[in-house]
Amino acid sequence: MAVLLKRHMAIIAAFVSVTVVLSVYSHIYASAGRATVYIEDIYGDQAELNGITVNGVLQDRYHRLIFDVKDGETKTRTEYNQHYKDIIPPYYNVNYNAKMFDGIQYTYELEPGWKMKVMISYFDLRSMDQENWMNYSLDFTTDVIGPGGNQYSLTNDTGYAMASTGGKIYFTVPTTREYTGTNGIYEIVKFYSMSDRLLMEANNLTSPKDAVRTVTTFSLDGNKDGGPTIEVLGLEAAGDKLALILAIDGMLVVRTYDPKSGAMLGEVALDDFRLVEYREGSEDRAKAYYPPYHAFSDNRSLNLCFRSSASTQDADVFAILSFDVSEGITLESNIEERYTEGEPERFWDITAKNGKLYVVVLLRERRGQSFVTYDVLFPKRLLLYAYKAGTLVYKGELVTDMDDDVALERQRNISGDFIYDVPRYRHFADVELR
Amino acid sequence: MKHFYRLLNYEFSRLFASAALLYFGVIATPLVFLNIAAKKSGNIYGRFEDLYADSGSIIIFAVFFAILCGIFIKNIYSDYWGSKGIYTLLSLPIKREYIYFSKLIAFFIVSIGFIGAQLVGYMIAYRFFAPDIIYDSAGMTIPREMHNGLFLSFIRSDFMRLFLPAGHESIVSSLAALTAVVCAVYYGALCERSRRYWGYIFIVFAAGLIIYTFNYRMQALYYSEYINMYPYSAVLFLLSGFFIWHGIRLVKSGAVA
Repeated sequence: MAVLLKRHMAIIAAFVSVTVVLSVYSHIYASAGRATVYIEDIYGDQAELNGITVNGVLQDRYHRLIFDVKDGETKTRTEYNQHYKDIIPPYYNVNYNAKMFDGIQYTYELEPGWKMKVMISYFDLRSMDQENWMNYSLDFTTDVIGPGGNQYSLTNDTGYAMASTGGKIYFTVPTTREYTGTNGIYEIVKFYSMSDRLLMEANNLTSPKDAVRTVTTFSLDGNKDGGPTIEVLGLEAAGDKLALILAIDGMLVVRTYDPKSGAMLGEVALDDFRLVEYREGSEDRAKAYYPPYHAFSDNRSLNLCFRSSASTQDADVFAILSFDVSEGITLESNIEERYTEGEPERFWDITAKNGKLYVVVLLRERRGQSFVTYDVLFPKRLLLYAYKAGTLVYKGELVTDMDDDVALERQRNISGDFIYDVPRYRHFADVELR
Repeated sequence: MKHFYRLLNYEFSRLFASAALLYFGVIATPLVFLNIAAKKSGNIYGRFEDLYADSGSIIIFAVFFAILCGIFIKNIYSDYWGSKGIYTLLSLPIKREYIYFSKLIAFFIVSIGFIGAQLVGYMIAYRFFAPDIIYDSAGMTIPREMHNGLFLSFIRSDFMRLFLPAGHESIVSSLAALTAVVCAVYYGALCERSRRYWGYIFIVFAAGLIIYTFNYRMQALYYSEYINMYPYSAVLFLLSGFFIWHGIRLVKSGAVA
């Protein structure tokens, strides 16, 4: 036996070595499939989610767990990052004065003056090519008359005032009560490269008028002569339509437009919805909300979500409004949700389907700064809600291993060894309901 | 072919004892250093892959890798010492290619075993030193292991991903490096024996490519421009081919005697 072993030891050793390497290899990569992803019921019957798919990515710097939960069944797939551009840009990183359309970041800046000047530039975040880093931009002087001086205020950050449909980018000016003149919805026709702009500046030319097409205009004169005041909260796209979100005398008004003709398709006003600043000191019974909102849309519906002034330290209250925009615009449902398990860190998606309204939101546990110092370290839960005719029919949690990474860091945080590096910890990306 | 098989077993049996000792060292030594590092306050509750890097286990690997190359070189040169086995080998009535390949393949087997030992060593070290997550559940603290922690510590270790690469591009790159290292060590010794010192230019070039691509792979997830590694891997395979081709020529011509 010993002689036999000795005679064939090379081949035996080769076999053993290769087997060890391959079995470690397959053991490790097969265990990627053992990641936890399932929906745990909190309230109601999970069958309420039937027909809807929750899909998204749980990623860190090294890998992306792509999940797909449908009718109680989870499908997962793991992809390994080869280069840092494989990492989906973490949602923390998008600036408030910018918006992403198809992976391209558009940054919108305003320059105060007698007439407000809009500057929008873009760059492709996905491309690391030097050429694409070069800013392409647009300068456009509107007919919006500013409050004067170099100071100006906005209802919402400029990122809210851009929308994209049919491959085109549209914008408006997020004006407050302090502005007069004429605001509008504009379509970007053309961006100019840095070299074009330098050439124009050298020749004292401004961007040619053909860089922008005016879709429609509306007067802000109510702000001047004591008429109903008008404020622009933002612009959204719903299918092939544009939705202008306004506050008229503080009351929420949504108007839909056809981007091609500029014709107004419909208007809806919410009687019991006031912006917070209009509520102060008034006897008005209407509920009060803050101007920043979250918007989600598809061909048929536009869903908006506003934070309510009824929010307290223990509960964040949000109004979830769903509009049917298929013909004109009508309010489908107006839901008020109190989030007590944690404060909403990000609304990932709100969608209306099969006569129900579904919400997926990431909640950050509500504990004091004495617990942990950094936002990324808080325990977070991804919750799913389903509403029928305005009432909650289902609530569940998408359970993952996400917290393991930060649980370990929370223990380190106490000893002061925490590393603030977002892609080091698993986090959600591209979560949506379909 | 029978001659080749016997020759391969002969070459391997000469390497076996030192290889076994080396594997033991590769598995056991990091445990000692990890044990020291695990006591440092900064590493308590740290991730395993960070602890592994912090403990100096990567340097330990580099030392053992140098020893592995040393074992190969000693194996080649021992033919020239004492009994002058090289004359016996060259006078055998067998193809000289067999002499060359028996050694080269024995080196490959030992190298794959070396990688296997490194992987197994990492897994054993994980069993001993993986951090526990202390869960605060209804007033009770429950320590538990991170779910799927071994998998995560493998793919999150920039160092271990060189041995256990994810993605075709990285797998090819690692295979190309392994092939080039084994061929280059053997070729280096043959060049010295036959006084073809110009061959070292190619060895230095191959080493440069391996360092460049491995350095890129360890940094690619943090910063740096994207580099397609296939051309680098192709060049390494071509260089390995050259090392083998010229190595066989040197053995055939008897220049190495």
